[in-house]
Amino acid sequence: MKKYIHLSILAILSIGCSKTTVVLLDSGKPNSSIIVSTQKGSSKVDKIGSYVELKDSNKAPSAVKKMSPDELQNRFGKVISSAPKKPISYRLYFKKGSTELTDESKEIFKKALNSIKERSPCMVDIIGHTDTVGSDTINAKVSLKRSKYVKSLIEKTGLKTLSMKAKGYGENDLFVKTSDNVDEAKNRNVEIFIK
Amino acid sequence: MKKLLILLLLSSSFIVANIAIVKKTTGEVEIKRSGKVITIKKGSMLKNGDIIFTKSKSSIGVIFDDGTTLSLGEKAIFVIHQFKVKPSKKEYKVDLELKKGKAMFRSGKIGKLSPKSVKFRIPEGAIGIRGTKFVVEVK
Repeated sequence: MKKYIHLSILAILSIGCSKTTVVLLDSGKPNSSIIVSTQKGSSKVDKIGSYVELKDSNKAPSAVKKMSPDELQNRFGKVISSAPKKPISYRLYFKKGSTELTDESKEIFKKALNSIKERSPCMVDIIGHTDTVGSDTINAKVSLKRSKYVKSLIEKTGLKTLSMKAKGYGENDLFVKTSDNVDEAKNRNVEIFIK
Repeated sequence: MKKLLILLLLSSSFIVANIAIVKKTTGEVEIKRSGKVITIKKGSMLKNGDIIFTKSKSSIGVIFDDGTTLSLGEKAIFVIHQFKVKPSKKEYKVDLELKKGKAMFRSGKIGKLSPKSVKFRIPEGAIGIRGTKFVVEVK
């Protein structure tokens, strides 16, 4: 008999303990939001500093409430300050019809090398991008070719990274959003993405 | 038979690629990877399937492949079920889970390219994102 009482108390405790709070923060991007769902419903949180609480997968999330800056700091200050620096991207452009970097991009390239040093140990992706003119497959190939070239430029400097990969995203990650078949010089670039 | 085994080992290690880098830690942080417990420090790489455990007075900050950043506070348990962001093939699937403790999440390229492919699980359900930064506490 005693055993049963013990068990039931444990069960109550574990229900009482399970509680989750989700707060939306400022990502710097407009119109950010989160959708928090359980089996019984979902809540959209789209105002910075607002939050919902959850108690059970069989209950809908609480109403959306506002968390005071003090409470946010008290409860989440430490985890927020444990976040790593955001990764950084440098974009290189080429002289028309050539593999030579524009003068401006040569300067940007130097800055990127400095960043790689500063952020060591880091992972670096060299990502080729194209505009939306032409076929997806050809754009993927062209972008990879350009990124491999920039990778070789970095390798020549002897800089050490944990990993350095050349990738070709073609027209799948446009710097400036355009529709298909748009000649957009800004989208023809190689991104040095430092993590 | 031996050849087949080697081939299998090679192909599986190819699939289990590095998907995140540990940028900072405080205190003691461990991961469980295929049943083994490994201590994690700055510069360690994470893989799909890893489970992160932070001890008391400990924390970790990581950057995923696409630039998504994540930090965990003390006594947290976090599972990387899957992290796949491959714009070259238009393949996107992010499946993460906070079992305990506090976490901050900030989406990287995935937030722009395919936010709907992100699932951040919590004990009671899941969080979906639309280009976002948030904090979460699981008590």
